[in-house]
Amino acid sequence: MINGMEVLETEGSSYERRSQRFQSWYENVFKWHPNFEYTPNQTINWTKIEKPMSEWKVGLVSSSGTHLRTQKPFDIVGDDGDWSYREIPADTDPKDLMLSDSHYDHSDADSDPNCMFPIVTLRELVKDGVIGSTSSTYYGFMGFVPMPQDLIAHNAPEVAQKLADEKVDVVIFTPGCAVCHQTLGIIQNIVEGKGMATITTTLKPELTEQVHVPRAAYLKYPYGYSAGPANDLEMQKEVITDVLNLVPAITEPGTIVKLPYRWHGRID
Amino acid sequence: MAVDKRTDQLMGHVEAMLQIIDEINHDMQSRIDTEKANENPSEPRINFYLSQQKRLVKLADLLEEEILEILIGIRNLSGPIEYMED
Repeated sequence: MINGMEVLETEGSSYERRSQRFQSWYENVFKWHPNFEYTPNQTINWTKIEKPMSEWKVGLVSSSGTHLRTQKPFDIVGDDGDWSYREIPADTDPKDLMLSDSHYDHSDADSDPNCMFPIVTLRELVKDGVIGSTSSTYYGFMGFVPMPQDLIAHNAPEVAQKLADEKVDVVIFTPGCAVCHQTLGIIQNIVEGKGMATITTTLKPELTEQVHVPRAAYLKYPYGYSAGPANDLEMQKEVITDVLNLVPAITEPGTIVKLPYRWHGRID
Repeated sequence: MAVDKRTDQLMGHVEAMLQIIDEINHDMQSRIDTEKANENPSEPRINFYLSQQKRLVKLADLLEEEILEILIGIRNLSGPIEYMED
């Protein structure tokens, strides 16, 4: 247990179940995306955070396809995906954000982008004194990048450098769809290698653990809610605070902790 | 682009079942505690309550780790139907 939360085991029956799910996904992904290249991180980078959380400068990277309405939308049509990124000022009004991604349902995030891109949540956590500050710029990717070579060679290191230039201490990552989990895990590891402690939320732990990321928090929610439920800021703050608290608590690279939240569904 | 809302309804029912299981589990625990507080606690009764608790844990695990997981998977797939049709 870490912070009273379950750590996903790396052996035993639950691990076997996840491995089977990963295998099943892996066998099927080529039917949808024949050019997909499974690209796990070869080594897990690791940066320890020494400062207390109240002094952290926190950055945000999401592969949810979030960008400003005034920016060029991501390419959601091409088979090769889109590994470009968008710079999003941290003081952006969420109404000025939109999502370009056709690989998952983001209709709730369209009205409340904060459930995928926790821009308001982080602002609130600064106001509450939970974290010290945020970077002035956040980064939006569209996670459908089946062949991530250019991402690894150019765009991910570029974003890592920009975050390092802002002297960011901790970066939080939020995914969109399935392939996003690989894309985001690659970016996360590159950012961690640049000297920042990182953590990603994951909705697909069986994939995240195969990609080998520094730290991850498993949220048992469907795609479209990688930063908490829509239109519930208090719960979003709770989720992201739990995620951030895991950064210093996780001491073993590759650890995935299950957050104590479950998708309640709706009975209309 | 929107998900099939029936998956949300089913997930809501699973959540309701998990809450009922949790309530029964608490009930079993209080019976165990009551029995143990007796001067002559009945071992067969305690064992029965414990065996029920084990079954409840298995049932909750099945609902959460298998059924809910599958429902989330169906919900995830039902979202981008337009994209899949293209």
